[in-house]
Amino acid sequence: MRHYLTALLLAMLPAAVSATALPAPLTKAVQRIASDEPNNRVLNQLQAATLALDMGYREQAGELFDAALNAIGSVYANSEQAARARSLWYDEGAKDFKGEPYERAMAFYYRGLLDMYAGDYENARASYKSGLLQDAFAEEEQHRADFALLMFLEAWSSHVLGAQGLAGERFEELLSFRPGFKLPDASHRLLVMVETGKAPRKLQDGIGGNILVYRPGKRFREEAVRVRVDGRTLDLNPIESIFWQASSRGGRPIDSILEGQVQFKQTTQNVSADVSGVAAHATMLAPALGAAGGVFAGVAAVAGVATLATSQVKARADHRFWNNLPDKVHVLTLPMPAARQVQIEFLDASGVVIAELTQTASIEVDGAGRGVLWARARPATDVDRP
Amino acid sequence: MKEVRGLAICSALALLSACASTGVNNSAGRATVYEDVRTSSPIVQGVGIESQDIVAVTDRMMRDMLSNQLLAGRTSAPRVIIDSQYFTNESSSRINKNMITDRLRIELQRAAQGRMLFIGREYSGMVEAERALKRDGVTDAGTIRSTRGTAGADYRLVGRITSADAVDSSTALTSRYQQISFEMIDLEYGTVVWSGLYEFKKTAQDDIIYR
Repeated sequence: MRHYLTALLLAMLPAAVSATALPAPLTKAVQRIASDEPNNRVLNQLQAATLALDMGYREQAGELFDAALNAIGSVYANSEQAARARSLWYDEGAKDFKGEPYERAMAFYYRGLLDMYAGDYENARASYKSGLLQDAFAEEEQHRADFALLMFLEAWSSHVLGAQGLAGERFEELLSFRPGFKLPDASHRLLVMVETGKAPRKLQDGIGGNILVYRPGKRFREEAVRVRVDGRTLDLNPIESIFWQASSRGGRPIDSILEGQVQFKQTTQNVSADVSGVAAHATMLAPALGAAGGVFAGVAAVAGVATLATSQVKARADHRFWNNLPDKVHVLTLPMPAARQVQIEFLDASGVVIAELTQTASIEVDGAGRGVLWARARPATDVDRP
Repeated sequence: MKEVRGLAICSALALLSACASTGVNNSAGRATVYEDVRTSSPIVQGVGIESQDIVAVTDRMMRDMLSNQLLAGRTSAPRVIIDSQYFTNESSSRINKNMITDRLRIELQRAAQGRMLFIGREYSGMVEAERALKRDGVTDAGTIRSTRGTAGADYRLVGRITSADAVDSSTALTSRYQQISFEMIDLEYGTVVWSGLYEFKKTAQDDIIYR
C-alpha cells in the first residue's frame, strides 16, 4: 500500500524531476508540492528548488524555479483564491502564495544564478532586472528598488558580457546605495557569492494576528565571510541583508483590508454583546411580557447571527514564509585564480572563525572563461519553523 | 455469527476512517487542451514575451525581408545566416532567443522558395567533421557533390531585445515596453542592408492582495 502511494505521488511530479533518484530530503520536498494544499504550491516549489540547488541538482532546481516564477510572473486579475483572501470569511493565507516582494526578488536571484552557472549571462541579467522590479512595490519610497544585490548582479552580468556601458550605469546606481563598494576591475572574471544565516521569519501580530511582522532567523552566529585562494585571504563584501529587505518594505495594501476586517469583527462583537443583553432580559421577562416576548425572540436571533458573523470573520495575515532563504549575501569579484578550490571561512560578530562552518568549494568556469562560486554557510534543510 | 458481526463493524469503521480528511490534496486535474499560439493564454499572463509575440514578430519580419529587393530579389540567391549568435537579450524578459531566430529562419526558408539560401553556421563543426571523414577516406564521398570549401555567407542577422519597465507603486500597475530590433549586415562591406523593428507594450495590474 505504502509503495503504491509513493508511486502515485511520484507520478504526479514533473517527469524530469521524478526521473532521477533524489536524496531523501529533496524527494520529500518535491513530494510536498503535490501533497500539500494547492495554494502553497509556489512556496513548496521555491523551498524544494533552493534545496535542489544547494544539493547540486541544478536541472531540477531550474525546473522548479521556472514553475514557481511562472506563477509569480502571472497576473492575478480574476482569481478565485484572490477574491477569497479579500473576503471576510477567509484568512489572507487562503490566497495562492506568491511571496512578498523580497521573496519574489530572491526567486529571480536564484534563477539568475542558475543561468550564470549555465553560462547564459543574458538571461541571468533578465532575471536580475525582473527581480529588481519586484522590489519596486515598497510602500516606503526610500526603500523602493533598493535591492543592491540584484543591481550588482545585473551590472556584473553586463560586465562579463562586455557591455561596459550597461554595466557602468548599474554600478553607478549601486554606489548610491552602497557607497564605498569596490567595483570590479576590467580583469575580474570570477564572482564569489556566499550566503549566511537563516531566512527572515513572518509572524502574526495585532488583534487576532491581522498584522504581519518580520523577525530575523534564529540560531545562527555567522556574520562575515572570507576566502582563502592561491595563498591569499580575501574578505567578502556584505552586499545585501534579506531581513532588511523584508522588514523595510512598509505597509501593504492588504493590511488595510485586514484592518477593515478587524473593525468589522469588533463592531459585530459590540452589536452581538448589546443585543444579547437585551435578549437575555427579554427571555427572563418573557412570561410577564406575553405577546411582546416574540419581538425579543427576534432580537435574540439577531444577536445569534452577529455572534456567528463575529466568530466567522477571519482577519489573520498570511505568515507563510520561504524558510530556506539566507539572512545575508556576501560577494567578491577577482581575476580568475590559478586554483579551482577555495576555502571559505565564516566569522561571528566579533570576528572569530566558526570552525564547524568552514568548507571548501569549487570554482566553475564556463566556456568563455567566466567563473562562479556560490556557497551557503548552512544547508538548505537547516530552517526555522513558523 | 458474532465473528461476522464483528467483521462487519470493523469494515464499516475502516470505510468511515477512509472518508475522514487526511489533509492531503486530492483535487482533480485538468485535461490537456491545445491552445492557439497566436492568442494570449487565459491561464498564465504576464508582461513578458509570450508565444503570440514570437509568432507576430517573426511573421512580420519574414514578410518585410521577402519584400526587400536586396535580399529576395537578386538573380543569384544571397546566402544568409540567421541564428542567435549576434542576437542579444538586454531586456528584463528571460527568453530562449533561438525561439525567435529559429522560427524566423524556418518560416523564411519555406516562404522564400529558393530566393534566399540559408547557411547553418551553428553546425559548421558538424559539417567540418563529416568533410574530414570523407576526405580521410574513412567514409565515401556521399552522393551529392564535393566542394573545396563550405559556403561563405553574404549577410548575417543581428538584433537586440530591449525593454523599459515602469511600475506605479501606488496602484501596482506594471508596464513593459519591449523592442525587438533586427538588422541584416553585409559580411563583406559591413553595411546594414535591411532592418526591422517590432515593438509592443503590455500593462497589467495584480490583485491587491499581491501588491
